Amino acid sequence: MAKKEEVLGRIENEITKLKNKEFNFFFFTVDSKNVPSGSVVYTYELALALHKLGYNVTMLYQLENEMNPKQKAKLIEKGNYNPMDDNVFCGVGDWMGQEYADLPHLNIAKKNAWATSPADILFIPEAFAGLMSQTYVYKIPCQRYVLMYNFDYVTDMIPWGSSWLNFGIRDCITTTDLQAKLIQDVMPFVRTTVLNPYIPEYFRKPIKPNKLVVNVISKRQSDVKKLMKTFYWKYPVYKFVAFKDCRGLAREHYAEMLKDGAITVWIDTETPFGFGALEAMRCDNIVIGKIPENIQEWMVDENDELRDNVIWFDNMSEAPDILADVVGSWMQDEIPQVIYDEMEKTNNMYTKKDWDENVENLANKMVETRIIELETFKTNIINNKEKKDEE
Amino acid sequence: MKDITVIIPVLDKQLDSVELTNAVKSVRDCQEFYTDGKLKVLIVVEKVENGFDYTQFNGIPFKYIVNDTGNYDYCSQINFGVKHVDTEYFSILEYDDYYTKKWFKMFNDYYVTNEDVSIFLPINIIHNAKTDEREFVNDIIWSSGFANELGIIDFDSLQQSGSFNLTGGIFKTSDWLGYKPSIKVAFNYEYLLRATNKKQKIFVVPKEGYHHEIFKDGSLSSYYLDNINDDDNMKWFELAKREYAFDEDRNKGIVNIKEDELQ
Repeated sequence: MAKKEEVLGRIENEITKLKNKEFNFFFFTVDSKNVPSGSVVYTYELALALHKLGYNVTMLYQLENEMNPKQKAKLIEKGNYNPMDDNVFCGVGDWMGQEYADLPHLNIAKKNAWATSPADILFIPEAFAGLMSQTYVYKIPCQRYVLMYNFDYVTDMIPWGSSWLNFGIRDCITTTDLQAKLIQDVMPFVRTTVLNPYIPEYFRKPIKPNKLVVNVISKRQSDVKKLMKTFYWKYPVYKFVAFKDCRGLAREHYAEMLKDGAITVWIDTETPFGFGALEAMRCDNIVIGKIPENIQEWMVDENDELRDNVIWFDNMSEAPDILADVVGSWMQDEIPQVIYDEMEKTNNMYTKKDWDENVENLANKMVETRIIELETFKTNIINNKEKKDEE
Repeated sequence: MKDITVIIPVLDKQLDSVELTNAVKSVRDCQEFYTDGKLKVLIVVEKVENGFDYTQFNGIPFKYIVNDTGNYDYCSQINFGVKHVDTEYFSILEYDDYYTKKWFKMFNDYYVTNEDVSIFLPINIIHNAKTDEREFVNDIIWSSGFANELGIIDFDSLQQSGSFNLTGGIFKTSDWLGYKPSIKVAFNYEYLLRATNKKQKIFVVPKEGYHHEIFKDGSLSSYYLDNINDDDNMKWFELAKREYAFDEDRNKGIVNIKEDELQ
């Protein structure tokens, strides 16, 4: 009897924590090792937004035998440092900014480092099937959500024959309706909530007019080389046109580079969202884009036709010709107005204001849902108790 | 309002030409897009026959001025014209060339954040009358790794290349230094050296602004092509490098010494 009262008291305590923002949002994350990635951006942006709303946020990572930067410096000084044993968590400070790096971080590889309670909410990246499984097997008491940036990552590490159902996962936060549809097509039991990413305000129209520089956004250096070399071979008259490879840059530095240019060639056919093109548009660049495998909502009009916010192509061999046309038009100030109009419309999507509102609504909804679940649990215990008492 | 005077140096025989009419028409077409000021045309002539003096031509203010100095070479005509400019900026248009219709508008897009610039040059489209080929000039300053700063012609960039064209350029009248006619084929280069030496900022707007024909029969470039060989050409450029330190035209020329005279 006393045990049930105790349980009811603990549940009530958890509900109070939820109501008073005394619980934790845990985000499992990977160490980006200073390599920018859209999924890490999405995770950290959500974490920071929740932190700013007054919630407790902790970033979780797993690193055996972690050493801190001071220990590493000492080893280097003594000549005992082996890069193969580099167990320093780099995080995102260098490329996303200090504000993100300053979020509380916790290495769960350390013994008893991490404790959680039913009021807490844990976000697991879509690729981390092992973590989904472990948290299920060990009956971690918190509510778990998959944070799905890219459906393509879901299949990377999940064992054959398993689905999220085997790990008790039913809730997923994802970036777009399309991503939600992709997961629901194969796992219809998953409840999805769409939280569109946003484009930070430092991606904005430059104060000075654009320079004649072509930015290239592509994950693969081979695409960059192919574009540049074929362009110069076919159009020697444009030998003066400078290119900039936008890979691997700190985010604000990358924004400055975009602002410096006039035209961006965007080659990322596996993109789940299209950050690169949207960021370039915000920086007033004319975007020439290879049509991606998954067409996002911002790319099409109400008739599902590709919009003129990007100059589209579907074969790499077309890219130099289209680029030459665009360079020529840009140099004559003859880029069709419809492109600027469509860019303007697109630039009004995915704003910081929308993001802040959506994150707040999402957090409220998650808390409400969790409170209802715990209240229901509590009611069930009380009902069972009364039933037993009657018997 | 930023009014700009367009100076066109013209010889007698060119006065009635279709090319001149087209050149002036191109100024009128530019006015349509240039909404931040008025364009006006100043034609510098040797003499005016029949006393004609239009105030409007093709819808833009227009007048002739007679060069009474007795020197009718290209540089002297420009120098004379600039003395009659009453606007903050002026531009140089050759009688058989023409502007692209948005040049002044595009200049203004860049001007608003570059008011410290003394000379705004366009990327010129060069038509070679002898080969019918087209190419750009002034474009090299936008090449990656060429200049210290993309688009800015500075002293270092002039050590690497002398092939810049000033026609179509928009000059701040108060910063005009005057051409040196005696420098012959390298007078543009000498001017740029002198301007950079005086810390003037020279910016190439990365836009097509001007169509320029070279090696047309009877043109100055054709004359130079026929009469100045590569060796002499280089000497004129070397002379420019020596003379830019002097403000005035010292009327220095190149000297050709034959090999047997050296012995």
